[in-house]
Amino acid sequence: MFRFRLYVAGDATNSTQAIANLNALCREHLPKRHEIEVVDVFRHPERALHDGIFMTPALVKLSPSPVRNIIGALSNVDTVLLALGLDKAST
Amino acid sequence: MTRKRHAAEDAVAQEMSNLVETLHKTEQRLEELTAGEIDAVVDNSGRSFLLRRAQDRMRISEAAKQAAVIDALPAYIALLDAQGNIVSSNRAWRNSARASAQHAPGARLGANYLALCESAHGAGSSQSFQIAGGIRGVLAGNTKDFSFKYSCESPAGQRWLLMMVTPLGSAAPNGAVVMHLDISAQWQSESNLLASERRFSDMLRNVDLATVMLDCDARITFCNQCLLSLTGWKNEDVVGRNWFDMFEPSADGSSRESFRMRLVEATDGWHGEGAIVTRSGEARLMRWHNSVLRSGSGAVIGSASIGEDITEQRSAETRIKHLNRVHAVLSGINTLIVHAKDREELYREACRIAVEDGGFRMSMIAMVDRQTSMVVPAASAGKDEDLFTSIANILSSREGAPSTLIVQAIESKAPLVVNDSLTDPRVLFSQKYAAAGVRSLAVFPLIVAGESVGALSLFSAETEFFHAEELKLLAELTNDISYAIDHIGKQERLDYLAFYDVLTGLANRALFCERLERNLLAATKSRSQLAVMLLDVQRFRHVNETLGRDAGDRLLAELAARLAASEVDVVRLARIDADHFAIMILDAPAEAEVADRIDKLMVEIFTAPFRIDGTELRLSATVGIAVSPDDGTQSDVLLRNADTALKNANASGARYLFYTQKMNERVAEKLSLENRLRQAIDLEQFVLHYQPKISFATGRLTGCEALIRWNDPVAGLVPPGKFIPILEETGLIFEVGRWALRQARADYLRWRASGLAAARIAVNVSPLQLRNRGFAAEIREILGTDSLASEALELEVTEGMIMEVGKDSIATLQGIRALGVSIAIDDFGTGFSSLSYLARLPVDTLKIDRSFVVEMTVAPVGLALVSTIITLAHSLKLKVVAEGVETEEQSRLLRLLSCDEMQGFLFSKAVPREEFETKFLGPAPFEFKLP
Repeated sequence: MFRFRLYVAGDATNSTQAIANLNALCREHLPKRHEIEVVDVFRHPERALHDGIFMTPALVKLSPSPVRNIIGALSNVDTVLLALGLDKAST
Repeated sequence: MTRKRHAAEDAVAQEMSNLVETLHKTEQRLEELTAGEIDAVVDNSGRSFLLRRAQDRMRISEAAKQAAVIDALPAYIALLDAQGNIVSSNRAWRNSARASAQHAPGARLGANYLALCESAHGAGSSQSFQIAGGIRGVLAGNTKDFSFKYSCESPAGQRWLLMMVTPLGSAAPNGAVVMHLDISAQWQSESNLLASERRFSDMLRNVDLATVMLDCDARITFCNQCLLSLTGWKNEDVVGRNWFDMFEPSADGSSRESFRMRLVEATDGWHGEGAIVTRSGEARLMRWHNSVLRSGSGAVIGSASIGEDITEQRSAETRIKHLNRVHAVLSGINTLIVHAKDREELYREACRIAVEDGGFRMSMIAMVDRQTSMVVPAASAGKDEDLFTSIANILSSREGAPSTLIVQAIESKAPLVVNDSLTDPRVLFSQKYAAAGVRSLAVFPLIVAGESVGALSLFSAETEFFHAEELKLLAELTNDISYAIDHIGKQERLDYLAFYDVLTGLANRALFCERLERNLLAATKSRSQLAVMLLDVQRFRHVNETLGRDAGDRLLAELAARLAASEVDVVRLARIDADHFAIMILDAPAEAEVADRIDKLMVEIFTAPFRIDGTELRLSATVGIAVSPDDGTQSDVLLRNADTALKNANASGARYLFYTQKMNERVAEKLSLENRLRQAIDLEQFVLHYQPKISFATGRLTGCEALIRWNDPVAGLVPPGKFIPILEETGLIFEVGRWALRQARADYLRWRASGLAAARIAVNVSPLQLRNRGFAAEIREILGTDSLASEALELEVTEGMIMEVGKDSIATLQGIRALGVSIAIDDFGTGFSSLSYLARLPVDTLKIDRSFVVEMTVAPVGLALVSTIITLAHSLKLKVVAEGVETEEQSRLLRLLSCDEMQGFLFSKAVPREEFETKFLGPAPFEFKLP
């Protein structure tokens, strides 16, 4: 099971794009084996601080380990898959 | 000093400028590094900063979203500042065409809405001032909101609007939102609904039929005065209550469930009969006509029912059935009395006839034993051995016997009647009777020479069987049995036979005279007239001579059977001579009506040929009549005078004559007309005129009604009212009726053949034709083989006719309809048939009688009635034609009530065929301008 946490800034453009991109990616590559938690830093600034997030949108892959952070709107799928250690062969 | 301060200020300004430059560069660099995919940064105390680009985009998209939403709203919205200036408005507001009112939406951006309203003058200005006041209240924070409904003229017509004002900001408003909603459609449908509801319930309130509306849970939502009067409740007792709890408390779960299912399945309509309980606990039998109620959007919201109280009608039907049964017993036992050889057979057969022919549940004859003076059962029928044993046992006990109804009836020499054996305390075995299916009973003493010799007990399965008329007939019956008991025996049998005619089973002259004498006494006392008819079979001697005596005897027996089956009471009938029959008419009406009855009887008896030994014989008869007290008060005098009248009739060739000359004169007048009518058939003096019917939908011709006229060379054109009754009385109607149907078919086919716009022709049918069992076959023959011919005809029958002829007429009409001929009910509303009865008839069209059309514009009740008739007829899928439409007003109302077609002087009376063809069937289609 892949657990993600996505930090966003309200419904700003890159943030809403990041949510859409992540959902699409998970649906295609990780069907039925993913969980996504979305954290809005305007509503929950303490969580961004606590988790050491300094830019949004930011995606954190919590499990499986290792924990990985990716910044941006997640628009390039190949880059994101690579960064998450999910190259095409393994999916 | 000043310069110093200036220098410090400059330094600060310089530093700020540098910082801004740095911020700008930092943000730019950050964007570059992240390829513009970052929205916000978080500092080390957890605060998020939205980057400028993201901020701009969000602001723009937020505003665009809101503007789009507001623009998409159909409401007219404007934003006012605290002074009442319009600072923003949505698309609907901007596009709104300026309406007449100052306060209506559409004012320009920047205009002061308050000033605009307050500058209003003329019509509608007070509304504008009210609105300005309301807005000021909201802007000042005095009121939370303000709304106002108003109407105004716009280029698109009259509109209804709802205006609402809400403050901007809560505590001290710095502006207000003004919104106008167009509620014209809703307003219109609401007021339409209200009006139609009012119209509908007004109508139902006045209708003389019970009306009730239920919601889906069978709760009563409306009921009219008729139902309230019928049940004795007040409106407030009833509305809101469950129908079944209120009126059908004995209804089980399944009736309630079936009501629910009807609504679920959304059946269009259904009919049913059932009892309802009134406030006083009385049961009324209702015939219901139900339909499913739907809301404007089509959802089922309950049911509407119209019901008719058929309690009396049903009990009248039951009475007739009861009387028929008693008649059957009477005629059976009269024959038995002649043939029974001994008393045992008489008792046994009398009991059997009562059960088998009379439909009684059980019957019993008990006789007094001369030696022991105990009452002993002599015969019984109905096979309830257990019950008969109980009765026999109690009769054989000296203590118990006196408490029995049988012994009491014998001792009192008077009949005893129990019309509900379950509740009557005089009945000893009420439970046993109930178990044997007996609900009412009567005991008649058998009296010979003034002494009770026994009793006849009759047991019926229904309560309330024995009423005055049944008892009168049954008393006569027990007299006959008593008479037979007295006369049965070897010696007395000859005397007894002297009173009956063995060949026909009818009374002979002696018995007839005795009965006549008795009835004359009663008639004198009650000052009523009594008529004696003597009937002479014509050419009877000829039959005897050519076919033999046996054939003659069989002919007489057949004739007697037909007479006995007619409306004449068997006990008032006798064969008094070889070929003479006598009939007594008690309470004789006026001579013309007696003559009428004779005519009817003759048609009934002699229309069908007699079939003897394979030979078909057509017989006729002559009748002589004497009426007491004018023609005598003694039986022999009256009979002699009737005989004289008969001889006169035979001599003069009249079919019947009264003894008194002046009575004959009155009848003679009618006779001459009859003869001229017979000639009219031969000389082809009858013609058909046609009256058009037109559709309310198109104003075009839909058909026509054929109306017969007699072109009398003496009197000119005679309308049907003058001669149809005589045609019917004389039976000439069959011939003329056939002619009319043939003529209509021929006219129709000729129209088609010559390329005219042929219209279906409605032909009126007489009850006599309908009663004729061969009528359907006759129509088939008239239609012939031409496939177009079935479209030629429609038959018009009156509702009274169908009621009168009964079940047979329904079968006949079904047969005719199967041929493609349509059926219309004429003069609807004038008879007593019910709409729900109509549902069972094979009928296509219903014609509303002229009198209703007239009433419609006179009284609201008349209008309601016509409306109800049309609505119900439509629910039965019947076409409705209004007759006798004479005024524009009537036509307008009928059209409003969705009547389908009309006929009347408004556009044409019945016209001769040639005129009808040119006016209505010509190449240019006729079109009536509807008002």
